[in-house]
Amino acid sequence: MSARDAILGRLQTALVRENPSRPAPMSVDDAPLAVSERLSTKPVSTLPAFSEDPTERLIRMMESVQMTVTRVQTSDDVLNAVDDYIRSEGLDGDVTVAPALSEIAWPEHYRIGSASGTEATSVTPCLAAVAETGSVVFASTGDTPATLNFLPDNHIVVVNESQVLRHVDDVWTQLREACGAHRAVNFVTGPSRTGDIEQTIEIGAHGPRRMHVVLVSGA
Amino acid sequence: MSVQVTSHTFKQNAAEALKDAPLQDALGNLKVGFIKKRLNAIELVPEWQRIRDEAREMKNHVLENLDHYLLRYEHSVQANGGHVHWAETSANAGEIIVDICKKANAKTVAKGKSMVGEEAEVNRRLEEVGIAPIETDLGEYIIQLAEEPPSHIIAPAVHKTKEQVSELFHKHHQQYGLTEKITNRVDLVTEARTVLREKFRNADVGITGANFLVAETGQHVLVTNEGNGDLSSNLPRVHIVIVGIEKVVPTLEDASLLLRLLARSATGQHFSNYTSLMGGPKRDGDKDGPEEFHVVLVDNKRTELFDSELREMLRCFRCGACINHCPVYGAVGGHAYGWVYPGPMGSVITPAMVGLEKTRDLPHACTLNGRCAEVCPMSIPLPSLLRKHRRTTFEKQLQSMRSRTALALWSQVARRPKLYRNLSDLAVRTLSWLGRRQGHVRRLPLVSAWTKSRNLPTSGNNRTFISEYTAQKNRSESS
Repeated sequence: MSARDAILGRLQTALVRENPSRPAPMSVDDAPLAVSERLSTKPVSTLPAFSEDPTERLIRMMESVQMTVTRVQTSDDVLNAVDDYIRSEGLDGDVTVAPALSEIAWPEHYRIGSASGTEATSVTPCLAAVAETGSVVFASTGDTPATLNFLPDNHIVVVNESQVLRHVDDVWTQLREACGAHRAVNFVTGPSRTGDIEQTIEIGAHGPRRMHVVLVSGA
Repeated sequence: MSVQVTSHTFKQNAAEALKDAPLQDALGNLKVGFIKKRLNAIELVPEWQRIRDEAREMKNHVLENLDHYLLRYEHSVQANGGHVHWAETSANAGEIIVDICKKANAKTVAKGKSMVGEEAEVNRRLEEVGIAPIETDLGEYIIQLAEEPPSHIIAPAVHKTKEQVSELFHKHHQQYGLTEKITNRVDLVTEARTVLREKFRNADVGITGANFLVAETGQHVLVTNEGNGDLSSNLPRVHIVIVGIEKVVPTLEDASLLLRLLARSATGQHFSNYTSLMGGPKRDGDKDGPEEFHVVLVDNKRTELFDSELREMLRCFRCGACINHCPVYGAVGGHAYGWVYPGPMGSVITPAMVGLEKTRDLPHACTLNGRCAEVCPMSIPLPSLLRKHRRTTFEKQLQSMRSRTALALWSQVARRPKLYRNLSDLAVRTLSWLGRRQGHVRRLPLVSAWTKSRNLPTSGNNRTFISEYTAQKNRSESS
């Protein structure tokens, strides 16, 4: 008997002993009603309520985990906001921009593509931002490679205000409407950190040390 | 690091731990760290209890249909282009992983923290065939250098002080030209980042655990604060997930239900830094991601737990809250427990996984104070599960002759109320006579384990509780 059948068999033996009328099929198509119902109705559990404006809460939550936020009026302001941030923080080194943002007229020395591993800064769009948790959400595609979220020291994210969602569960709805299972969906909630030395939080463990959000109001 | 079971010497391990000064310093950090942060985080969520109840109900539903949800998860992973392997034992899981690494011609493996990986001794097995596993979670990396097992499921190096980490890095980082001894925390983190970044770049295979498996989409959820899990999953050519069969949930909504409990219970964060959903290899058009994706679903006695009165333990999602709140863990640390899982959850799981014979002291390393059950986000009644182990220990006659005789004697006396009263009356009189001058007894035969470190207070009035109670009742009735 295969390990698979042995494991499933042991589970089913116990379950059938408790409930002799329970069917014990080995196929994905024969799920009991309670299972197929849960999978199709996808019940939402109790969500933590908040009365704050979602965008205001998002900013507050982001700042509480050491992200910084600049608000701009239109998407035409993104270029300057990114450039200002890089200059004012004195971020030396290469900049890589996600292909999804290639229509912006970036300075010539910015590279478009996936992470090379040697750039200091990445600039990416996001799929959504979540007010509940203060997270930005990235879905990996050819135009939004996941490595840009993890390898550079500094990560600048362009968030359109229309992308701000209330709860994590709203992201699931959006993912299902988009195109189903991406290879990677990353919720990032602040720069990388560790508490592994004496329980004291230090920023910059493996991922970015800085996370900066350019929040576009009119978009 | 190979994990030898040393649970059978728990008492000796604990005695040594109590005398270990750096360990005691390090354990002091737990209180201010995890406990207070958890409380602060929970206070901000008035819905906490309702969310907890819903999580328990959801997970009970999953367990009642575990076979179907595993089948669905397998089906969804395959639809994403991934491979699913099933392992009955931890040894099988290790063999499957070694096999995949060999086929991939792997020289080095980047590992995210995985407790199931510890069960399967993945590192030892890889080293035996000449493959170098590199732990990338900072805590796991520290203990890998120290050649020690983890002492906490979410903070594996919680027993190490900064000075000890500094020594370890100084010793092991010379080979990379990092010869200066650094002592401050920021620099230690930066140095580990530099060393491990190279390791990520060169790793052929990434191995991570998973916090949840989503049956609906075939994705798994992985949370970290460092980002090491994501680098281990995204950079190497092959990604292997090793995970226990109980981690499956039906839908993404059920994953977010548990995520609301997980980070708050574990570290007091409202959400972990990196909460990632991943599934399958690189898609058409993707510029990054692994070419091969494997999941190893591990049983290792979980089906036995399932078919026992300890089934509720399978709701556990390894947040570590019970460990952080356990006074016994707080006093002796994780290594004393002698295997992968310490604290209350460990004292339930370890006997089930490695055998009660080798671990008979663990269910007794508990004061039954109940804090673990109170803080458990999945409402697992840990003290009553521990009591079930205790009962089995007695039934299987696994305790020492001395405690069995003492318990047998006790039960004889306890079942005869009159004898019990007379004997306890005699005991109280003797004790008060012994303590007539100081109000306490300093030494007493048979209970030296108690009197060695504290005085036994004695009653001043020669009365047992029952005689005092009867006397008071009579007084109030006559007045």
